Amino acid sequence: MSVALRNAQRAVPVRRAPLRRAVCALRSALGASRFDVGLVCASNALMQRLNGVYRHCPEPTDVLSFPFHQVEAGELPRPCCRGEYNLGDIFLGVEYIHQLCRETGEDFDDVLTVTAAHGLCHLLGYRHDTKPEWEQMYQKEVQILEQLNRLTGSRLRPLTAGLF
Amino acid sequence: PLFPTPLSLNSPPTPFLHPSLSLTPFSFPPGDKAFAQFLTDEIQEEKKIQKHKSLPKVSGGWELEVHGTEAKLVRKIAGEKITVTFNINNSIPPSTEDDTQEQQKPDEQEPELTSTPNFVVEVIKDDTKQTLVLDCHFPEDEIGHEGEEESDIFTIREVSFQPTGEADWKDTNYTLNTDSLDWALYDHLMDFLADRGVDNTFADELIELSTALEHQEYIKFLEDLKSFVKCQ
Repeated sequence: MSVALRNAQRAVPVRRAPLRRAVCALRSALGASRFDVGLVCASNALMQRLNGVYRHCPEPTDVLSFPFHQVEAGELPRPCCRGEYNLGDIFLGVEYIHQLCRETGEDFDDVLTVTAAHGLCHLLGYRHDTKPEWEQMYQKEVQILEQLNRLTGSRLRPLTAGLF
Repeated sequence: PLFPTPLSLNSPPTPFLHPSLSLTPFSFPPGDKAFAQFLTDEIQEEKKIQKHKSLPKVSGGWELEVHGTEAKLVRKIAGEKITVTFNINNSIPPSTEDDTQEQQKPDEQEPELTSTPNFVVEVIKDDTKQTLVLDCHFPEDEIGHEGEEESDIFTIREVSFQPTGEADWKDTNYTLNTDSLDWALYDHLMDFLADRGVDNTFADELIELSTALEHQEYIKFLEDLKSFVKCQ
């Protein structure tokens, strides 16, 4: 139902309204509009801490997803009560993404959106540890980004293009 | 001799009074002397730990006006005047003060007190008679604790229009409370502020400024108190 957006960092200016619009559209494209999602724009320090605690990799990163439900890729959660209409939380490493964009020349807002799409897919069980998993996730990302592109006129492509 | 040695006629008799009741101009309560000495030491210590001897600037072209405990930051951009007003009174969250009182060990340095005042942003457009007023707060439970990492740095609590140039607040003007506001609208309001320089970086610098001003006023108060206590 709602996207709880928090901007918890000071390093990078983030435009909240367009990010919320994009995440809402992507969530709808996934068929998960009735689920809440948490979105936190995080600094390198926070991403490093979370990455260290949860993935034993204490380095800044671009996105970390914390699913509320454990589901197979392509399935929607089956909540038992109102409180379970929750996909989980996505931490966007906006400082990390901004630095990356400065190096690659890509548009920060575009990469932020694509990263959010990637994070949403992770909340719904998609993974990219193996090639088959990546292919499945990549196709889903293409699908939802194409829907967003039709709405907004953008030309966004998945984050994991070329991973395998 | 028949007569006892007379008392000296040049010195008045000393009244027999309990020392605490002695209120003659030539002595004042003994506690005051200790209090004044304590204040001397306290002022010295506070000046030693004073982080900013002069008030820090806020980046982005903001001009600062200070009237006692109230500070006002003013900026003009593209047909608009933006003012941010805050008061350092009661601006240090109680949880910070409690931690200082309860947990400090004797030899440990006191933890830094941070001033996080509520602040009011006023946006005046040159061609209107209405000022958009946004009442903003720092989350009280989370500053200085780990939970702050995952929260907004500041929040908008209330929004209303007020007549430009009038000092009195109009209660009859509608006030939007953000507690149950549509989140998309809330984000637009935050972006609106950010476009005018009131963003997370600004909020951080405001805390720095407010903390410095609060400390400055505290030291001045101690000095005034010391003068008052010593005054005869």
